[in-house]
Amino acid sequence: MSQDTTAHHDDHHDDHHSAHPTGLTRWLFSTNHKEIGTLYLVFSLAMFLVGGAMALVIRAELFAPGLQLVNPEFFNQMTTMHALVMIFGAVMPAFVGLANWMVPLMIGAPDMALPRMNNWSFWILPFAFTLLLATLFMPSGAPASGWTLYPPLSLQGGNSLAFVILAIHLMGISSIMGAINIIATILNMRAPGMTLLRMPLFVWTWLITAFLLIAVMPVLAGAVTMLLTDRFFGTSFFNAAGGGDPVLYQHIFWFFGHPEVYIMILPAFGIVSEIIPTFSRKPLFGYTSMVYATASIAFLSFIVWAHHMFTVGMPLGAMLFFMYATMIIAVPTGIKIFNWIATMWRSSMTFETPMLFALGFVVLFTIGGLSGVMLAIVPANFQYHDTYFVVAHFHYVLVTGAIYSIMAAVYYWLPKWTGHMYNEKLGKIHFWWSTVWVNVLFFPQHYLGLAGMPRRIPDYAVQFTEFNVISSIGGFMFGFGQLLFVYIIWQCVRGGEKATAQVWEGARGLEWTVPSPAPLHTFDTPPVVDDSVAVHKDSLT
Amino acid sequence: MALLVILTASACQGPVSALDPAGQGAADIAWITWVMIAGTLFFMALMTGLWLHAVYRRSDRPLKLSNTTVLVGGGLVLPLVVITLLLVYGIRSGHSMLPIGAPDLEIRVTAYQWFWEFEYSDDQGRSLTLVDELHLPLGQRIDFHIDTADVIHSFWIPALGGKMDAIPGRTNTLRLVPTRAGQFGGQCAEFCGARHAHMHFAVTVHEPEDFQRWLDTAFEDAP
Ligand code: HEM
Ligand SMILES: [Cu+2]
Ligand SMILES: [Cu+2]
Repeated sequence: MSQDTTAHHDDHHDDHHSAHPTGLTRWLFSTNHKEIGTLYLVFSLAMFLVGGAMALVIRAELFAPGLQLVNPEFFNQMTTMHALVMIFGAVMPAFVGLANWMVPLMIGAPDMALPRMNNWSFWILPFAFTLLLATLFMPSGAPASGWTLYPPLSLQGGNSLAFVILAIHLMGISSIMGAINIIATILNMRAPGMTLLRMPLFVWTWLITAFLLIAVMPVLAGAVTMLLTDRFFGTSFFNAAGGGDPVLYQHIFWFFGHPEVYIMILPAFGIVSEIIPTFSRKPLFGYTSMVYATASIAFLSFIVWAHHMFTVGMPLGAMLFFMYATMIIAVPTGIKIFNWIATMWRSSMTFETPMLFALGFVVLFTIGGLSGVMLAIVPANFQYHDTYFVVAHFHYVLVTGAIYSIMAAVYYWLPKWTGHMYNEKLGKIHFWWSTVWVNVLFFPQHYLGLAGMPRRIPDYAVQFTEFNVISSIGGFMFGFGQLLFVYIIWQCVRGGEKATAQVWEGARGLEWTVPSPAPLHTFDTPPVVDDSVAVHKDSLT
Repeated sequence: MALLVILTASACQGPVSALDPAGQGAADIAWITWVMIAGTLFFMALMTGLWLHAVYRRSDRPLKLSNTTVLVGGGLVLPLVVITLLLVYGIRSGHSMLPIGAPDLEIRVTAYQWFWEFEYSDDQGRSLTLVDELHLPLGQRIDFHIDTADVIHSFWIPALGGKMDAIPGRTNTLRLVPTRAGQFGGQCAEFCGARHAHMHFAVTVHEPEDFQRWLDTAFEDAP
């Protein structure tokens, strides 16, 4: 979409590229990192709306105790599909899209290292999600065992399980190819002078995320393949009657699952670390410590998985190990939060929409981090586990964490992508509307969980009614507010005040040295990078 | 605000409330919950304070803190102290919930899609199986041996203590000590399919003598 305008500006700029294909083939065969980035982002937005619609079905059913709108089977399909669509369809592709667009621009590379593979990694996704969403229309219905697909429950479903597993394989292949591409690009394509410790933090966090992806997506693939053979080919990896163990699945799944949640938050840390310095008009405080903090979070994320399964009956020693390892993650995370505050300290800040979303991230993500620490305390987890407290926790880190960072990034870079400024007034309304209602939506869920409401239920005890009503109202208001986001993007793509190359007064980095909209081909001759382009300082002044 | 307080109180006192504890485990956890909420509020207040200061002070007053003070103090010392305290608590309280020392009563729990079976037996070879109904003596150490006939479930009485999964091929043991007589609710806490939300059971905690009387009659009446 946004590329239509780009192509026009581009013609006079770069003659030998004017033969670029148009129409559908332009997108189908594109090997250009900017076009593929746009495809990823549009896809992610579409999935965000699909997943959001499913969430509203859930909140509508929970508006009152008792079973009203949908039957429990369909409700369970909704919780399962909502999670899968949001995680694999909305959050992860959005981050890959941002990496596609921005990593080459930030390191002064002409494109991604492996452009044809780049095309393929994107175009796998529509097929994967067609398979996944098609299960909704199958006689046995979509999978309904929760996104974690725990056996034996997940093995009781119909044949749609096979479709889901194939879809997960495709998403995994797509992610792994995307990750390989990002690593290859960052390690091989940096402009002269762009040393590793001059790279913007967004590039750093993505480099580390890409290694996480390569490490854990195959683990997920292994786990679901074992499910597949257990269900269809008579093996008993997880079948206790055949000598297997269902808990084994949980260990494998969470060995993937916990790093996966960091895959969804490390790039967010990177985005926020770009935006806060820009609008504080100061270099990022503690750049090197941010890099080390990111790397240690990534490392630690491999040794905490069992905090998702304290109630399966583990020895106390094992529980204490996983509890302590989990809490250690709070240390590098704390370092990051303090670094962001220190960056803002004594600065001349302004509060454009990207900055608002970034600040919203810092405050609200912290709430999610703190509830995470509460969840990690072993005896307390026996009460909180599988309640709405967990639901509140991961929505604070994922919605006001990952999704907020993506929105911040979209507002921040939209002028660079489209060449137009978005409507600042509407952007601010979008932020405040979302922030009020997202808290109305998720904050009461902490309380519901502490009081004892289990997750994944379509019906609940009457004592929980009031907070569920509040939460549902917040859900609908937040949900419909996101249509404004779509409108703002659409409006900005169509036209608006012309953006300068610099866009934001305080912005630093190579991406701001190319015109807005960024022409289809940038840095054909590599720029020379020195400290004047990429400024990071480890001091407060 | 007042509304919030009323709402809070109303939801707190329901029969399935973990914040209105009636058992040793639940009381322990409710206590640490309040401590952690206080700690969380403190941390959020500290952050918000720093943040507001950063926003409103702008450039007019130089900052006295050095990098290392901020980093080491805020990012390292503070979290380390907090998590060490929590670890100490975890070890102490974790032990109190383990089945250490002989129990006064043992009950076999079997989960099915979607109901619970509770089996009592005594040394005279009498036994009794109840469905979705549980009777417990006040103040005694009760061990639940938890198993399942089909998928994974989780045995949970929020007012009395933590939950424990029922997993095919294993028997898990959970120790609970009720500290208040009355009626409570129990429910399945691990997602187990279509009727998971309705996999409730009723719990009655009796004075020990009443419990013994109830058990004797129940054994007599049992087929
Ligand atoms: C300070 C850092 C964090 C800590 C200490 C932490 C701790 C935990 C713990 C102990 C659980 C298990 C709760 C239970 O099921 O009993 C959990 C669940 C979860 N966390 Fe976190 N977490 C942290 C950060 C994050 C982040 C950054 C994300 C994602 C961006 C995240 C996403 C999730 C999700 C999705 C679940 C639920 C998974 C499920 O059961 O479906 N967490 N967290
Ligand atoms: Cu985790
Ligand atoms: Cu259940």
